Amino acid sequence: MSNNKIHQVHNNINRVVHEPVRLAILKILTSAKEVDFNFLLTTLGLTKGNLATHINKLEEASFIEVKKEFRGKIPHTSYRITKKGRRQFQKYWENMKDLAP
Amino acid sequence: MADDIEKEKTKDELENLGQLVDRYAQSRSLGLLIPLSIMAINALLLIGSIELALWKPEARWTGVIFWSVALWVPVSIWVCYKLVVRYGDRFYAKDGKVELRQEKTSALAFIVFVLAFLGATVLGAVGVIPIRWALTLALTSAGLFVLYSGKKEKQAPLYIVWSSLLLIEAVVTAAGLPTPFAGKGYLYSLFAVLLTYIVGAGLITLLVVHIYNRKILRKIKQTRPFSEQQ
Repeated sequence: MSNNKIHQVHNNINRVVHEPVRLAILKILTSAKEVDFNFLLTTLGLTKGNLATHINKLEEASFIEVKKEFRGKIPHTSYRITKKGRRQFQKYWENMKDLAP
Repeated sequence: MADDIEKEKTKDELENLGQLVDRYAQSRSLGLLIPLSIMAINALLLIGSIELALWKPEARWTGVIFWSVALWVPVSIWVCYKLVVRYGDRFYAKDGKVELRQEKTSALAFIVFVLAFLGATVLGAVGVIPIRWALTLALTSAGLFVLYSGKKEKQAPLYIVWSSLLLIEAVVTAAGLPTPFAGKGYLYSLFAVLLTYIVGAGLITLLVVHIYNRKILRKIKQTRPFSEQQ
């Protein structure tokens, strides 16, 4: 692969997706229809603060949608991947494939 | 080269995580306690009200009780559905909520199952077919319906185990293995046996799949790729 092509592929890589924890969050969200904050904590083993930071970044990029509701008096937050997020996740792996020798 | 190895490793870890999440979500079995409890309660109510009606056929209150129970049974299917939707996930509140993309079981399949199931039990109860064959047909229709629903509703491990147990019970009954309460009238030898088999198989399934679910959760916790809490 020429240097130009490699450079182009590098530029195409989405920096929001290109982070292991966010990749894992997106992978979980592509496997499920909807998950809540607790489930992501259980499966990923992150601290609450760190997970919230990553989720915020994905939400700001509109890759996930956040649903906030109250269960009795307890707030409950669920997440779904958006079409844009799904597309970007697929595109990310396609770009990574292009980087293969 | 090192980058490629790292990239492949990350991809494999993520694939593995996705599969584990899917298997974990499909094997949450404790919600089954709700329909099983309602089934067991309904069976007791029905048998009790029929026994009462047979014991004091002239008393008006036995009739009222019997018809109240008869009305409650179809309503309980709706109540059960609502309870499962509302509280089915509460058993796993500590693990968090995960909902898979699932299709609903078709109404036609449900109607076919109800007709086959009720048809077999009614034919057995009125003596058109022997009770053994009525039990076999009812258990087979229940087993096939459970298998079909599991595929549609993304509850494969749960419904595969339950349907396998039901189909094994059907084969064993067809082969002529003695059933409990045999020779005690169709109320017990057919109806009570059927409910005992279905609820019993459900309880075994619940336990087996719950153990499997905890195993998958442990695996997720061991393999979570980017954990900070290990």
